[in-house]
Amino acid sequence: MADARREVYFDKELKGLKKLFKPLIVLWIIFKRWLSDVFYSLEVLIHNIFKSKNEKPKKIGTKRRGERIFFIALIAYPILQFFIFYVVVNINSLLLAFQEFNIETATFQYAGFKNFALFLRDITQDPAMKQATINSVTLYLSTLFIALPLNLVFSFFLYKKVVGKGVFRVVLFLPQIISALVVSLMFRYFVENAISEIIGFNLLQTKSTGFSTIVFYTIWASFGTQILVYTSAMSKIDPSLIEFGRLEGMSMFQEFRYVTLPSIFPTITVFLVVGVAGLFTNQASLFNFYGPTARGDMQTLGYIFFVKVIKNNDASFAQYPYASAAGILFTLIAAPVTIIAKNLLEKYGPSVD
Amino acid sequence: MAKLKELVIEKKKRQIGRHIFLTIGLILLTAYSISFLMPLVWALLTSFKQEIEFMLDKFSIPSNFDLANYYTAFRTMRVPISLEGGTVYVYTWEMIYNSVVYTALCTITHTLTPCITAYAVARFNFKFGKVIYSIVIVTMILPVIGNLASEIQVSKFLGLYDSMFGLAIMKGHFLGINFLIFYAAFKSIPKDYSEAAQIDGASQWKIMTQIMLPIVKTTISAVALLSFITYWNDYTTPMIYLPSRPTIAYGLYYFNQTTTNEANFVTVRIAASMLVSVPILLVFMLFKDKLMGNFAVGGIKG
Repeated sequence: MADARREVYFDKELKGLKKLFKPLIVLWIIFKRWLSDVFYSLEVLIHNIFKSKNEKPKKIGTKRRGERIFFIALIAYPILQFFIFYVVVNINSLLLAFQEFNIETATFQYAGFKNFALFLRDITQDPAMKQATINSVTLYLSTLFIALPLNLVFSFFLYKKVVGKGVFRVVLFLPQIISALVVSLMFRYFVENAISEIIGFNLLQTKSTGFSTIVFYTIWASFGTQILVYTSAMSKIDPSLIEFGRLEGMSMFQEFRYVTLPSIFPTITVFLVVGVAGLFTNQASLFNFYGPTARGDMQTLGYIFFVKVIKNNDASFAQYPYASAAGILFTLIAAPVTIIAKNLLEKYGPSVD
Repeated sequence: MAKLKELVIEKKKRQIGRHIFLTIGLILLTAYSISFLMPLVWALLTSFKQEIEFMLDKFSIPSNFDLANYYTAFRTMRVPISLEGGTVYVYTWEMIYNSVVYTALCTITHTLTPCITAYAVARFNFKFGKVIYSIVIVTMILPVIGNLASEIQVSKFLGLYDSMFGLAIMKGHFLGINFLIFYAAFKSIPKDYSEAAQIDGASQWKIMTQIMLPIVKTTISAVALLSFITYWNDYTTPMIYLPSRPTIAYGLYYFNQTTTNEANFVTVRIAASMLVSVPILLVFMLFKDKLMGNFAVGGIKG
């Protein structure tokens, strides 16, 4: 799978990453050098074009020059795309956070720190936003402490070749194949029509059980990618290690705890590190369930800020700056946490003895 | 003798332990599988029932398997779009057409851009290649949250909003896991291959299109397949960026949110969901081994 590959490169790259954050200056120097290279090769190109054709080009360096031109031709579009849809988009997002929408003129104008102040007030005082924050944290912790262990345990059973492994692999992967919308809708109709008939009340519509049901759904439908990645990581564990353990009289649980877990921990690290942002972006499939009109007590931060900006009308435009400001504050929290988590996990994570 | 007996008992105990462990696993996995398949099977059965039959008994097996609900769903699934002249409805066939175009275009750009970029970075030894590699890793780890509004603004500014090609360009980035997959695939091809071709006088373009890309075609098809599934199921992107070209996935979402007469029956809505899932399930069943099998493509394979 796509992600099955991720761990392999990540293992290596996470370690080398420390170096990458330091040398922005080095990047700049390399970029300058590359730029001068580009200009040089353009010069050569132009020179060659205008040169009389009878003259034979120099043998040395032509090959390299040809490679360079080809290389530039290949990466021209991707780099331009990256520049617009990553660099420009994010800079614009930063600028947007300091603007406000004027409904009368339908334009954006400078507003200072107003959006940030507004957001900070909302998150500390607005009950709906407070509820959303609590929900987001609950959801994040549940995925961390329930979904992740379940993923690991299921992977371990598949790796240990439990009976009917092939069937289970397909079923565990189905949530990734069938549209999330369809799975959500089937779950909703099943709960609202079938289960409510058995237990006598509607799990989703009752306030006390509504959000728990959503959390259950999120975990229940989250299997697939992770399991595939973990099983492929487990299959790469040195068999002699397990053989040795078996001779020592190691039980299955001990094998899981002392051999499997430490061996695949770098892979788990990747999911933990990449998952930090989920705290602010996880929509808990609420949009699949209810569209833009989910009940207040179910909403998460990711859902609130998604719904705010998706409409193509003035009301939505007016929310752009506010959503951007919130996004920037979330990023300011998530980015350092991600890096710290990465370093801590690498330093204090279990290792094979 | 006694010691040997002890050893045998010890071994038996351990074997029993393993069996118990695996049985627990079997029970857990079976429980999950049943819980996941049950709503789907229930939905499939319900999609054949008439509304009255459904009201009377929510669990019964349908008295006759007729496709009336599917027919109704197919006929009545529609999305209103506002054009300058007023509101126009887009019906199922057109939405399917939109879906096919959207999925095809985005799959192509989303697969080929990382492929080409990875080729450039992996096969040529330029410093800027390393910069690109660093960009991919850093953007994968560092989260940027809440730039959706800005992205919509930029796409409108560039005239890419509400255009299939515009969306395909937006999705044609090299960031993310696809780049790393292709990078590994190209790195694993020995340098001799391109050098031999070069000595024979092949141009760079020829080396890339006729030697290198065919070698990694299994990787390309696997990535393309995954993209295909993702884009076919994706309804939020078309909802945001293609207001006048609704896709079938968005049509399904809209169908479940509206309360028009025909759509207001659970049975019809479920039939619509089943209808939209059929193509993707077919694709999955056909290419299951490619997707779930050994994804690693190492060395030279035809």
